[in-house]
Amino acid sequence: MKKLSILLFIFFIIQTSCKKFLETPVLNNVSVDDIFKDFQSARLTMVDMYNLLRGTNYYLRDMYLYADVAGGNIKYSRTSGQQLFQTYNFSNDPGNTDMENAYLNAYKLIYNSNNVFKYVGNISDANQQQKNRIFADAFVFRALAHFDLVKTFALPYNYTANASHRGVVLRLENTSITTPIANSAAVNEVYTAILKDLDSAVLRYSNSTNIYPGIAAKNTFSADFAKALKSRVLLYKEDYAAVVTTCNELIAANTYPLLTTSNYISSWRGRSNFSESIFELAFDNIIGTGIGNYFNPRVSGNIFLQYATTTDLLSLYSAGDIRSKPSFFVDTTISSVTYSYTRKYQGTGDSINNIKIFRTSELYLNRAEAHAKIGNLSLALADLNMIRLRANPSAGNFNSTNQTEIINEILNERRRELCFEGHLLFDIARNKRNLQRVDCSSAVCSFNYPDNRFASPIPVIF
Amino acid sequence: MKIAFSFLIFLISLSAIAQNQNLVVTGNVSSADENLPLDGVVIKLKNTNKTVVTDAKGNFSFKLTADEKKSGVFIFSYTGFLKQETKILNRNFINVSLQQNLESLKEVVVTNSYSKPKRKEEVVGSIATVSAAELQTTRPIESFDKMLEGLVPGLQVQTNTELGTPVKINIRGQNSLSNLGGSNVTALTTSSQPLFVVDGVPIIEQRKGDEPIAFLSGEELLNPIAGINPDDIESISVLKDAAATAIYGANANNGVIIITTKKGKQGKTRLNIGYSTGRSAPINQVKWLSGPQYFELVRELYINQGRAPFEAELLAGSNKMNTPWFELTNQYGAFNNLDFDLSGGNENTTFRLSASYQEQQAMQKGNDFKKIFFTLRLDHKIGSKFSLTTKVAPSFTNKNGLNVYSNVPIIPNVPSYNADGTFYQLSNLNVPNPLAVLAQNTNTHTGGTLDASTQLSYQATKTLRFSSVVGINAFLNKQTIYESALNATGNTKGGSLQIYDRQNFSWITFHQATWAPKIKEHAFDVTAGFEAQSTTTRLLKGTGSGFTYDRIRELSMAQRQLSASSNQINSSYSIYAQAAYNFKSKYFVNLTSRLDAASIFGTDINSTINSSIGAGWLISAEDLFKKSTWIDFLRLRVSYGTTGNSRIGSYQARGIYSLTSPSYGNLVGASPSSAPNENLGWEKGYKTNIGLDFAFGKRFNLTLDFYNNITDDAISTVMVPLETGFTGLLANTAKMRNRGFDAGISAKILNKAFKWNSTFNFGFNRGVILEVKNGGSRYSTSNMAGVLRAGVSTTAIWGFNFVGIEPATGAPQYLDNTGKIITYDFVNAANNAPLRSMQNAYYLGDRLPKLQGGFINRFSYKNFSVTINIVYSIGGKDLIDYNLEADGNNLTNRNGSVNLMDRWNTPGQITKVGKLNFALPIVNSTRYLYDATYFKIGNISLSYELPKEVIKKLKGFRANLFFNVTNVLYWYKEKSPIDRNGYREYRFSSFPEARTANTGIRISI
Repeated sequence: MKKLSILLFIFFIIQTSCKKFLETPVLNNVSVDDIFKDFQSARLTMVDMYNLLRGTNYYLRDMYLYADVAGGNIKYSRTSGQQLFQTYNFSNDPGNTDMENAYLNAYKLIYNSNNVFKYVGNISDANQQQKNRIFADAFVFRALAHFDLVKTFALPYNYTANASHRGVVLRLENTSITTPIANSAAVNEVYTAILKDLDSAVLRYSNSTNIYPGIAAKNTFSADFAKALKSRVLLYKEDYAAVVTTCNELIAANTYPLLTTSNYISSWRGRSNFSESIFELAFDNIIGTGIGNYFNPRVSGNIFLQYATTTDLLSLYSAGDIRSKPSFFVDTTISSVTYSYTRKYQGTGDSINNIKIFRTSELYLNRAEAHAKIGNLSLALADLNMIRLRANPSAGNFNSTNQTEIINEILNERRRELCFEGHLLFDIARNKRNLQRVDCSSAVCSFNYPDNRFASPIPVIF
Repeated sequence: MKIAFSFLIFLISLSAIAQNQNLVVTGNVSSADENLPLDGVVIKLKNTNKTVVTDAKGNFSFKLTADEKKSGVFIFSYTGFLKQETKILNRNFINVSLQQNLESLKEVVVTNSYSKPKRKEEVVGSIATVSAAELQTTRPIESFDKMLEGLVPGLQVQTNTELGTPVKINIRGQNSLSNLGGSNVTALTTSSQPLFVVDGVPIIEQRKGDEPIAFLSGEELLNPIAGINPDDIESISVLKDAAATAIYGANANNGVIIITTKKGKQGKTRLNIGYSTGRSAPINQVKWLSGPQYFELVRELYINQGRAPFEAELLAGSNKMNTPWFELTNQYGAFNNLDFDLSGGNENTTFRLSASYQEQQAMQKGNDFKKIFFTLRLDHKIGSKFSLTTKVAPSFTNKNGLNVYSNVPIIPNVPSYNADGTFYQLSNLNVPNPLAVLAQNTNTHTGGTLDASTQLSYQATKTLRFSSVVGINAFLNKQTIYESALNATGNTKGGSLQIYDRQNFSWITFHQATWAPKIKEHAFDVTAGFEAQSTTTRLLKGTGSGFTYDRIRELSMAQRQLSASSNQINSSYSIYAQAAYNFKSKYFVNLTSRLDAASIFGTDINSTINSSIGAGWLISAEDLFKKSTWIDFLRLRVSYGTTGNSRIGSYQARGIYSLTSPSYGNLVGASPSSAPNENLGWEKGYKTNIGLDFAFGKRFNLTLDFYNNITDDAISTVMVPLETGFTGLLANTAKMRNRGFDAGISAKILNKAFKWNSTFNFGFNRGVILEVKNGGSRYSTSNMAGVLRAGVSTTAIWGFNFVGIEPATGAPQYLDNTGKIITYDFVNAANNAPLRSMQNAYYLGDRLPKLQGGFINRFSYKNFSVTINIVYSIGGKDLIDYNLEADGNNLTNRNGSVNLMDRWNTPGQITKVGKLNFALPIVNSTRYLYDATYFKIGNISLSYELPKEVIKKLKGFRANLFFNVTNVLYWYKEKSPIDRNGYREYRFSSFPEARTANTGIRISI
């Protein structure tokens, strides 16, 4: 009996010391409940969402250049290794699409945002301002991701009268992984959710504090970005009065003054922030491959170089426009064909360009379009001419009293100003225009509105 | 008086000396069959502690008292020979010849690292052993795992052709699920490799899973098994059923391979030296398109895409140039091996020291592999109760692996050099010039392994024994990758350097007590113990770019530098017990149980218990059979038990965030890397085995095992809808079964002057998934063509039936699972969606063979012997890389198979290759599916031993000359068409197999 108790005692000692032995410290991989235990760790997930935005499968290429590749601003200067090539050829199908990873990443942003909403409220070592900032950013991330999804993978808002057509899957909370995913929500439901998230964000920003030491304010989200994004969402939703109100507020504050004619071209060089940027993705600590690699022909042996400009776009610029050839395009000849590349992104190596997600020029153009569609033609012309004259002071004002003519010109100006910034195909589709690509070598260069190909097929993994 | 007394003493001592001189017995010991002197034979006077040892000539001298000389008995014992007792009977000179114990190596079986070797009849588990001689280490193969091909019933080695990289070993089929893909899941599935244990110390498997993202790509993992010197191996035991493996508990589901290293032999110090050298040449190379052929096809491809002929010609490049890239990047391989070992000792201490140098130059230029091994083993007895064994075995590795760019065959109608002698840049093809890579880049591994252990045991009483083992296993490797700014690999970064430093340290210790009493006819052998082990993986990565001076390739020379490090610890502890009982040495029972608790499940410390029961019945010991003259051994074995598989990444059940740095704004970030799955639990294996061992006619030996292995809650990655934010996650998704039988038959067919020994083994296995659980998606990406579905194996290939090429349009046609023919649509690729959806696909075959094994024959006549190893595999299917023959899909940036010359280009043409086009092919169809049935003469070796008379004259000097050829001959069921490629060529595609011939000598002094 005595022996047995000694044995039991030894066993007990071993057991307790072993429990300690198995408690290995937190290493590279942290479990979900661990990462949201404290403020410092939870913040890491926010940082990484910004990092995801600037990845190849988001704004560095797929989500950003999709509309330009499909819309007709871009043609390829390579005959092999083309990226987004199926998008260019409209040959994406659900089982095999260029946009699969972008789609996945949008939902990854939503997954993390939903984790934030689930866990961050219980964090005890953060004050309300810090928590508000995390929540506000998460609202913007979720809104941005849902908006990117709905504009890319669904037909435009105005495709049906009440936007009741198929949108995308709306994820407002994370369900257990074994629960079946809900069906796609209608487009109007998605837009409602996006606008609600943006409004919640603005409210949270009003009582928040910066939580990203060392990052410039306009390199993370802000109340102003949430509002600016809202103006874009409202424009797509054709809620023009609200577009005007939102833009008025931001333009009047003049926090992000327009670039001037003289500093326009030089501002696109290098990696510093624009004065007129409301949000840009910073690349200040990245060396290597950036968006410039797709566009810079002067790097020898650049295997990424491919996105040349179509003559469709080049021919839109008037003589003397600073955004036209040769001042804003760089030419090169490959196999005796001359290609032009935009100077917006020529930074490579240690001077990779930041990616502009929203800048004041778009606010003017959004407001111009909204005014024009409401019928405030003179206000529309005023905004249009701000952008027009900045690029070409000698061009003189654009004048017209014909609403259609003005809208056409605004859309052309949008294409001139915002090319390679992810707008063209969406601008065509939501204005119910036909896709007409002239300088095009795809099997499918043109189709008329409406057409299901205005929405990229929703990727499915079997 | 004093003087008288001294004189008396003198006389007595004188007489004592005289008496002693008379009572010295001398003698000589030799081997009975060879009549060669035996060195190191221990001669013991029975019932005393007096011993002597023979010298190199087999001579001994023994001092005895008169009594002893009259009635004493000598016991002669020598490893590998039968013990012999000889009465002295007052003889002064005794000549003894010992009989070799032919079954000596077979008689004793290493069953696991916790027990002493057991006699053959005591073993109730299914264990196959490979002795040092059977392993044939003179073959030019760099690691012993590759040498096992065809030697063990039921063990399949999936060979690869790259030096020093891990090979996959399946014991009785694959007992874990295949990974069905999913790019965002870092930890894949549980490991499907067996557990390797060397002298009690498990070898750390190199697999990725818990590393930060920065380490997941770029670094290439080497084979830790290559750190074991094949010449040090005394025996290999392959544990297959639950009775054998359950003592390894949660790590045993894929089987266990136990390696026991050689120990020193008593007697005079003996030296063995061996040297061999060889050359290798590629066999079964793929026939690629020549330059003009390539031009013709690419031109046609562009025309098919709607280009004008002149434009197509311009785009297709040169119509004359023909650069033979394969020949430019390959050469004859070389193999050199030098080894020596030194061993000796006395009855209390033996030692063995070995060192070996191995150098292998692959056929691919720029790829080589060098190894240096050292091993020191000491066995020492302290008094009569303590014994100590210590082994230290470091090894060093150097590997160069520059030649990976030939993986993508370079197009042939471009030059390799510019007119000015500089390398031609292939930058428009997304690939660098492989010759420039060879000349300008670096890709080197340097590192080593350390395997060391100490065992102390204490025999407290006759029946009670305590032992403790402490062991370490370390794997260190540094990979340096330099991509020069001078070629396309590094020019956008101004030259780039990546250094990966990997340190794996693991320690293990176990302490146990063994109680083995024999009470009348009841024999017990009970072992219980405690084990703890811990593995630390430390990774360091440094990258630099911007090299203004290309010749010094160090991080400090880079303009921009980044670094990352990581530290992972996995710990576990276990409590185990094993009880063996036998009655009358006829009826055997064995019970095993083990508890494992591991840190990998995070703070929810999780433990699992595995147990087994085994029973054996030695039928030949029954009275009925005892008189039988032809039955030597007959025994029936039955076992059942559970095993586990804990080799999975950490915290998988709870959802994971992976830390990344530098992330946005140079801050640390955490990205979601896997979704939580609260239902994830341990895999459980249930193994049943029925075996029969039968030896008869003193010549034939048969072992037959039938098994039924069930793995329940098998873990795999399942596809989840992308809307979750993930592509897949780990889940307990299936119950699977491997059922089959394996058998080994060995026979001494001829045993006269001409000897013929033959061993035949086979493993017949059918794997099937019995049940799919927990929902999720059950299909892989179409490239992987896998499926998780009840009724087929986890290694099933899933796809479409290729009907042929429609003669009118040149479009490939496929059958879907409803029997409908779907014609490929060149114009609107979206119409091909049904063919890309795995849901419309069906079962095409199984990747693993139904039947596989080996047939080893050894012929010897006088001093010559020939060994022929035949390896076969029947019934497996293989889906080759579709890029080789993809109707022109990737043809503009890579070369293709010469089979593309048969493409469709005229309406009405009947052919197997479709109209050339850019559209993506259907990758998982029978078009790329081949029957992988083959027979191969894996090795022929010739050996010549110096004749006995010569050895005698040279006083024990022995020499052996040998010659080996590997991969001598292949027979494939699928024939390759004349001048075209078939499975024979496609199997290893860009890195063909080598046929290596080596010749060498082993001498022993």
